[in-house]
Amino acid sequence: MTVFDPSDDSVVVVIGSGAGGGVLANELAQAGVDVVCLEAGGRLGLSDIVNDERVMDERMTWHDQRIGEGLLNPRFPAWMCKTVGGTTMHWTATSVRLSAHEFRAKTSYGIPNSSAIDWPLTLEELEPYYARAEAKMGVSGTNGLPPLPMNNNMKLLAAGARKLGYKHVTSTGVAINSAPYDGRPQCQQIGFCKSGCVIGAKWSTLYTEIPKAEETGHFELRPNSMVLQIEHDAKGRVSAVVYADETGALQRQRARAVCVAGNAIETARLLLNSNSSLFPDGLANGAGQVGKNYLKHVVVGALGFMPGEVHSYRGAQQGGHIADEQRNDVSRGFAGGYQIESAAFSPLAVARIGFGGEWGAGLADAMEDYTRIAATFITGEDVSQGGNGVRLHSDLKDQHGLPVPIVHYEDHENASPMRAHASNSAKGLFESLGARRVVPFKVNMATHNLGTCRMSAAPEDGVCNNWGRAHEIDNLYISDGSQFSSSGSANPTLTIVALAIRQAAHIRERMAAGVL
Amino acid sequence: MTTVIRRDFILTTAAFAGLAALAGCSREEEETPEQAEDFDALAALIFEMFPHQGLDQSVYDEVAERARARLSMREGWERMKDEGLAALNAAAGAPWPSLSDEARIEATESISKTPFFKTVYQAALFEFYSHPAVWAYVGYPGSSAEKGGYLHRGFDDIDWLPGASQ
Repeated sequence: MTVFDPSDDSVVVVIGSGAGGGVLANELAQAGVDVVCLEAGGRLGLSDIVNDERVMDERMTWHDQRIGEGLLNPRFPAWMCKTVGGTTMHWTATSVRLSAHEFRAKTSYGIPNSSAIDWPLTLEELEPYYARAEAKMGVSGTNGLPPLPMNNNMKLLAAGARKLGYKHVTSTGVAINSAPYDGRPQCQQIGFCKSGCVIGAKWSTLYTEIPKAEETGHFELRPNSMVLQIEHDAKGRVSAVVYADETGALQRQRARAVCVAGNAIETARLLLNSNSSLFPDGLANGAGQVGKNYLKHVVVGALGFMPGEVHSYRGAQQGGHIADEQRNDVSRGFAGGYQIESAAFSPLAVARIGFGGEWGAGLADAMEDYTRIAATFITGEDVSQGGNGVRLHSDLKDQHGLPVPIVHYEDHENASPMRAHASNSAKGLFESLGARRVVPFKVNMATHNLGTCRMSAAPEDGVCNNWGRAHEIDNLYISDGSQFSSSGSANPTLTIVALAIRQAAHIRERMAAGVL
Repeated sequence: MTTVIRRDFILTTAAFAGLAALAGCSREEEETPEQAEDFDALAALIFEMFPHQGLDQSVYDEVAERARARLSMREGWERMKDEGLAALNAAAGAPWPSLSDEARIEATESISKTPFFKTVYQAALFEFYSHPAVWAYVGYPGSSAEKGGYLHRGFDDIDWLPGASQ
C-alpha cells in the first residue's frame, strides 16, 4: 500500500472520497499524479452493508451538529454521509444529464429576486465528460447496457405517464448495473438502495474509484481524517492541510494543490474556517461568495393508495423517471423544470413523510395499506438566492473545536407554483390508475446540497472558474456539487462526476505545462 | 393480514424478547410499582398513536421499552412524563388506561398538542415503524439481500395495470 510522507509537497490533497473527490482522486492517480485523499468517515467493506436503512443511517450519515434556519429543521441533518464513498453510498443512482437551458439559469429564466447566474460552461462542453461519467458508472441505457428492468413501482409510474400523455418515460439513466459491468454484478432488485448496495451493483466510489486508485500506487486514502484547515504560503497559494486523525491527533499534510469535495455544507465551512491574516474572511472568499447561493432541489412527492398490490419495496428504489417536465416552459407558471422519479419508501419513511404528526386509526389504517402504496419523488430546479447559505456559528463548537455551521434556506417564489404543478402531475398519474387516495409528502426538500462555492465567469459572482479553480487561489479547487452555478432539475451526482473527470484533465494539463 | 405473517411476527417478537433478556434489560426485575404503572400508561399511549388492532401487545411493550430508553436520556424527561401522564388521567377523570376506547381517544386528543405527546410521538414513531414485527404486519418483509433480492421473486409481478406488459 502506498504511503506518502506528510512533508511531501508534491502530492495533490483531495478532501472527500465521494462522487467528486473519489472520482477526481482516481482520475489523477490513473494519470500518475500522486494523491492523498482525506476522508472524514471510516471505510466500510461490502460485508458491512446491510439492507436496513435504520442500521445504515447510523453507520453512514454525517451526524455532526448543524443548525438549520428558515425552512430547515433546527437540528438540520442534511443527510449527507460521513463514510468512504460519501453520498455515493446512500444515493439512489438516478443519473440524468442537465439540459442546455439548465446551464443558463439567468438567461433562460430571467427570474426576479434571484442571484442566478449562467454557468461559465455549456452543455456542449460538458457532453464528452458526461459520456465518460456514464461509462465509468455503468449508467443504464448507455455503453451497451440495457435499461434497468422496470419494477412494479416504475411500471405503475410508466402506465400512469402513458395515460397522461407523457412521452419520455424511461428506466435508462440509472447507475445500477442492468447487466454485469466493470467487474460488478447485475442488480438483484434487492430494494432500498439508500442503505447502500449489498452486492455493489449500484455505483459507489467505495468499490470502484477507490480500489482502482489504490492499484495505481499513486494514491493513499486516509479514512477517519477530518480536515480542519487549509493553510497557505506567503504568496497566498495553498500549501498544506491540517486534519484530525482517527485518534483526534492533529496532522499536517503538505500539498502542491488542494481539491475540496466535502459536500456543499462542509466545503464552504472548511473555506470559511481557513481564514488567515491574508484571507480574513476565509479562503477564496474575497468576493464574499463562499457559502452563499446554497441550492437544494424543489421537492414534491406523493403516495398513491392503489387498487391493487404494488410491493414498491421490491427492486431498485428509484428505478426510472419521466423527463417530459424537464423543459423550460413558462406557460406552466414557473421557470425551470422538474423530473418525476419512481421512488420507494420504507414503512418508517412512509409514516414520516406522508403522515408525520398524525396518529390514531387514520394513520394505522393507511399504514396497513403499505403493500398497495406507490410513490413518486419529484425534483425541480431551485433558484439561487444570496441569502440561502452556510455560515459559522459565533461560539458553538463541534468535537474538533470548529464552529458549527448554520445553514439557512428559504423557498424562492418560483417554488410554490412549481410545487403546485408537480403535485398535480403526481396526483394525475396515480388517479389515472384508480388511486383511492393520493397523499402529498410533508417533507419538501431534497437531500441535495449545491452551489455554496459556485463557478462564475466574473470573479465577483462566485468562488471558482469554469474548471472549479478558485478565482483567488491558483492551486485550490472546488470539486463537488458546491461548484454548481445553478441546480438544474436533475439529481446532481452524474454532473458532479462529469465535472470531476473534466477537472482532473485540467489539473494534469496544468501540471504538464509546469504551472501547477 | 395472513396467518403466515402472524407466525413470522410472533417468531420475530420472541427473538427480540430473547435479546432483551440477554442484555439484562428485562423491566420486571427492576421496577417499582409506580414505574410499572407509568410504563403501562406509556405503552397504552403508544397504542393510541399507532392502533393496529391485530398487533400483539408485546410489540407495543417493546416499542415503549425502546422509546423509554431513548427518552430517559433527555434532560427533564421524568418531569415531562409525570406531568404528561397526570394531564392524561385528569382529562380522562380516571386512570387513563382503564377507560373505554372512545374515552381513551378523547383524552389522548386533549393532550395531543402538548410537548409531552409530541416528544413521545417522535421517539415512538421511529421505534414503531422500524420494528421488524410491525414491518411484517404491514407487509414489508425486511431485508431481502439474504434471499437474493426480488429479481426472481416478483419485483415486476404487478398484473392489474391497464396495458401493462412484461
